[in-house]
Amino acid sequence: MAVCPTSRLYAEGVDAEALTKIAQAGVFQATPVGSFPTDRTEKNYALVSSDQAVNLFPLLAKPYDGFIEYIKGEDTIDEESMLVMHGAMMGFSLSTATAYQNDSAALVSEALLERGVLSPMRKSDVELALHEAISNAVVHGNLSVQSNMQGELAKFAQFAQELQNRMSSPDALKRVDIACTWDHEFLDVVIIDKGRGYDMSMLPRDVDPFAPAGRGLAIIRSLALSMTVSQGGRISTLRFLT
Amino acid sequence: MDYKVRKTDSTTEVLLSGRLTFTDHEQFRSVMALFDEPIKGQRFVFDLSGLEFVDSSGLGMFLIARDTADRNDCQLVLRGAHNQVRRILEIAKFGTIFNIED
Repeated sequence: MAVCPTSRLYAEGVDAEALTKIAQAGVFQATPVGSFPTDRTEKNYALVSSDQAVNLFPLLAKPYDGFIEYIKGEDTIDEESMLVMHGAMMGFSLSTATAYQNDSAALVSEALLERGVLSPMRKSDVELALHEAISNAVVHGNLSVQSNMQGELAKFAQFAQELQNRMSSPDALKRVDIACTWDHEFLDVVIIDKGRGYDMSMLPRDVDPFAPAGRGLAIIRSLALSMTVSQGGRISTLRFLT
Repeated sequence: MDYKVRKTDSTTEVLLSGRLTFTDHEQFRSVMALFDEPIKGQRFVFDLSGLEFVDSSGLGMFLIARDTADRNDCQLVLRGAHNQVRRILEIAKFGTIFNIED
């Protein structure tokens, strides 16, 4: 991979070693620890510690185009994630544990509002659709917990237990990537998980109020202009009007 | 999500607040423990006026509560939804299967 000199990586609560490690994946150029982005014509990403990643709201005011969590325990740098972040106009690459704990969709939609991509009117629908897509990526994608355990209390308890168990497995270190691009007409948000995908023929087409599960996808379909899935359901692209 | 309970002779009001999402299974299970008491014929009100956000898992929780209420001959009402919460109830067509009050 060639280093693109216009994508810079800044340390936010991580050390130079972490910065160098991520930069070695090839698409980002590390900057000295303590430096701060000044050139808005370049793409500036922040490499944040997991502690900071849980609450990124205070960092949204800084001129970053996105945030990459430095995940301690991540064996090899996820090159797919780094390339996706590099190609985005605004991107978030977070661990499953972080995406589960914080309101990632609220964060992404707030960032889009602050950058003038979304109006306050549009923000609420975008947030809900993104929330559903991100929770699918976390629960069904990276943690491979099936939703057919919902629907009644005993099964719901089983679902919750399974989720807790999986959260303490190495799968909780897998990345969830959220990459936004936009123009004067459309906002596209790509959500990528590192799971095994799902059987797309099982997807519900319409909102069924009685359905015990699968409601999330139906909700996305009713809020987004379009939703396309690829790589067996591992990659979802939601399109909205800006 | 946080909740408070307000009981009268015939009604149990559960005042939910914050965000009700797929991460709230523990809190939801403690809400559901309210249905373990002898409650036949009672009226349950989920007051949603303090809720800012509900996701599809939250809707699933309402469905579980409704089924539990039905089995105990109880009535379950969803009351006071606004903004996003009202919107998701509409999208999911919950008005067709729930007793929804302003």
